[in-house]
Amino acid sequence: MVQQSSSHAKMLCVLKSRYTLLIGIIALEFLLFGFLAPYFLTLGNILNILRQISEIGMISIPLTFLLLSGHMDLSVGSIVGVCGITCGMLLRAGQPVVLAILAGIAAGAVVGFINGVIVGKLKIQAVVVTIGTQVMFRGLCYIMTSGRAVSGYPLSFYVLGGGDILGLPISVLVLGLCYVGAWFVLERTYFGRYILAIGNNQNTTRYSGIRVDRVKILLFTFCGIMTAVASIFLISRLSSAEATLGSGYELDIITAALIGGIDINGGSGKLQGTFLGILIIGILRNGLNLMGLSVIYQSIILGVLLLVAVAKRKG
Amino acid sequence: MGETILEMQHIAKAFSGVYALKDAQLTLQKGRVMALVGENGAGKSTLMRILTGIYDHDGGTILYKGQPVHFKNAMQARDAGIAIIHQEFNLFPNLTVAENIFLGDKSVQSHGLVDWQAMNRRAQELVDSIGGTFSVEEKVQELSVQNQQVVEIVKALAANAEVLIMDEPTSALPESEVQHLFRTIRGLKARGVAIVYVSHRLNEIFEICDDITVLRDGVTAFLSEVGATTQQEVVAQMIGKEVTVLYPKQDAEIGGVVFEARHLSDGDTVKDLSFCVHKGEILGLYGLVGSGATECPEALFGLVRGAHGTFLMDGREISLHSPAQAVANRIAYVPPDRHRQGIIRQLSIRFNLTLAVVRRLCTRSVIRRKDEQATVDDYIRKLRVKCAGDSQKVTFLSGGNQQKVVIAKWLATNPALLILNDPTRGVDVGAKAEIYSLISELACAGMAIVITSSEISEILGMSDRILVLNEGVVSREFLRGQADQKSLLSAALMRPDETQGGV
Repeated sequence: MVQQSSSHAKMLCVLKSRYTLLIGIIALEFLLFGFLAPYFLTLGNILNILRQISEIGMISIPLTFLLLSGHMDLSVGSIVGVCGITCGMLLRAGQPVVLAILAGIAAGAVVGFINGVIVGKLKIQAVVVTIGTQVMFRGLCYIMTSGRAVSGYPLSFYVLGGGDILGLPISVLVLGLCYVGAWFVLERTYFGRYILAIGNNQNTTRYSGIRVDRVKILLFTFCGIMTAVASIFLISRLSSAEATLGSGYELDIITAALIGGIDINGGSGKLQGTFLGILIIGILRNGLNLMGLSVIYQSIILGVLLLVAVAKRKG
Repeated sequence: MGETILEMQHIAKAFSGVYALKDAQLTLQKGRVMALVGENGAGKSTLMRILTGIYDHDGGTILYKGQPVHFKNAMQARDAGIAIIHQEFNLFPNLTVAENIFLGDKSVQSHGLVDWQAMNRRAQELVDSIGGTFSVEEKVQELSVQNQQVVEIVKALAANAEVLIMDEPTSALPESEVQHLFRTIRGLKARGVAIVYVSHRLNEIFEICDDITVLRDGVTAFLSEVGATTQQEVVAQMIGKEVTVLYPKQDAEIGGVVFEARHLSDGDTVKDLSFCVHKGEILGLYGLVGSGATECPEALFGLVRGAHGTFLMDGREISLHSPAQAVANRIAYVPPDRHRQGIIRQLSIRFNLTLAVVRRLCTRSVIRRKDEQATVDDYIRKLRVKCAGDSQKVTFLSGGNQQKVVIAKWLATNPALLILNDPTRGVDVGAKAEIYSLISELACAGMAIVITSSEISEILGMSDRILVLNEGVVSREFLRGQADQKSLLSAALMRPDETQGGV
């Protein structure tokens, strides 16, 4: 929406350089793991990577919206837990699959709404609020599960996380649709304008007659809903829900968004960038797993990647 | 006195091939105040940056005390005795006055430690010497804006400044404190300091300055003693053409009541304000700082929590608890602080211009891009916004054009009541005249307009009716032509119960 004619060329240039870098990193990953890790370059593994990133991919959409509006949600990992466990417990109790899914999504909407109201109405910084709710919701997970894994779902439920349509995993198709829809919302609707406006100058936005607090509540609620959807795919894929379900997701997603060029201060960045960031992280984790490298080393490499990408932004 | 201390001759400066200055001249004499005026983009700030060593000049010479000089950085210029006071003060709010004045000054140190007593004593002497009435042991954040300005001046004196540049020194000051600053300036003149007074405010220039230099498009277009010229002439020289009427107010047909406020109070400054605005009428609100003149529009637009009153739009009662409600009731508000409240400078003209109306340009939440484009083209043309295209970022526009974008944003919402709170702050003269004629046209087209301003002449020049506010209530009402600067100011200074009062 900011591009055209004169600034178009300049913008394109900037975008180009960042996207070239991101795609370059992905190519490098393919090259490296292709040589080092057996089975990496098989169709099965590629689909596996896509399936693995589909959940954080779904959450990365509302989180990108929040980041663009100058906000942050550090509680998404815990929301994955709460929603996944809610859905899993209902399934184990023999409730219909549709009901269990809807209940999980409703739980996401409620906790997202809570975040939104605290940030929007009580005007407390989103980072602080969601650190609080992160801990709170995680505690809830332990209470709900009493520390034991929730498993034993009806067979039909596993279709979500494991099923294919035309050879593509369902979760990947859903992710793709969500991304297209989200891009449309950002670029073509008034709501996308409001997000960018708030991220760049909240005060002017309010002075323009826009209900900034409502937009915030909506964004956090949307984040809860999308996170719930992701959690349902996740428990279907893992066929169980533990109290630690989804923990640490928020950092992977925020890292992906930052690598993808979303400004941590809000107001600038593109959804495409987040998507590439998610791909980079997903491929990296998968490749390192195949090489048998422990998760601890993975996080060191991720951290370095993040710093390089953000340094590139400054440069 | 009258001895030339600094001469800048034929100064030229280009930024990547574009000339900011072509042939600028500035001559300063000891103990005299030189006004430097020009439209935005005329080259004032570039010239001042060259003088203070921030920029290097491409051509021309600078003679300081008779010697050619070439400052390579700000430090060199400061050490030579050239100081600048910016619009935004450069003070540490949590340090004391004395600490601010002597920050980094080795002369108040002994054996590597600060000699606090000596420092405070010397600081107090300096403050007292220019009529400051505060203690140097107070923290800067506890001082009023005008006293903070005094601290800035003293800081320059402590560094033995012989040339002092003041950039829009009154923009942060309440009107009542301007005279205080002028007393200080006269004190500086008596010490032989040469002062450059950069300002848009001609009234002040004609009061305090001795000489005037007008920059236009990077060239010194006009030089005169202040006593030998007129405001009309200066304005004409700034824009390069003769302006006959600065306030092109046309007589509009004034119709029935559009908006009425009864017993408006914001729980703070505005106490009990009742007034109405008619179709086609420009209603001026005037008052000194703290009178409620600038607070009243904020309360009307739903920006003040706890504000209350009864409001009628076209005879129908409405509530105004949030800007969103105000906009829904066809009220538009051009705020005083453009950067924080009016524009989103990192985003495009199109984005800014349609921000308040974009939702109405949607079908099922999707923006109708053709309609949006038509709206944007329409207002850019109508308001003559000078830009490279509607995708240009607002930050690259001049102050006047930014303000036009803010006004366009509101006109696009088709308001019945337009509230303008200090609409020409930081706007150059040429754009000011355009904005005034636009306001006048809008009134002629039947819009009801409320205007407040920090400049008396603007209120006098534009209003059909003026309400003078004092202590949150209306102290007097004038019709167009009844008031002049003196009567307006005295009404603003008088307590409400001393006048006939009421609407």
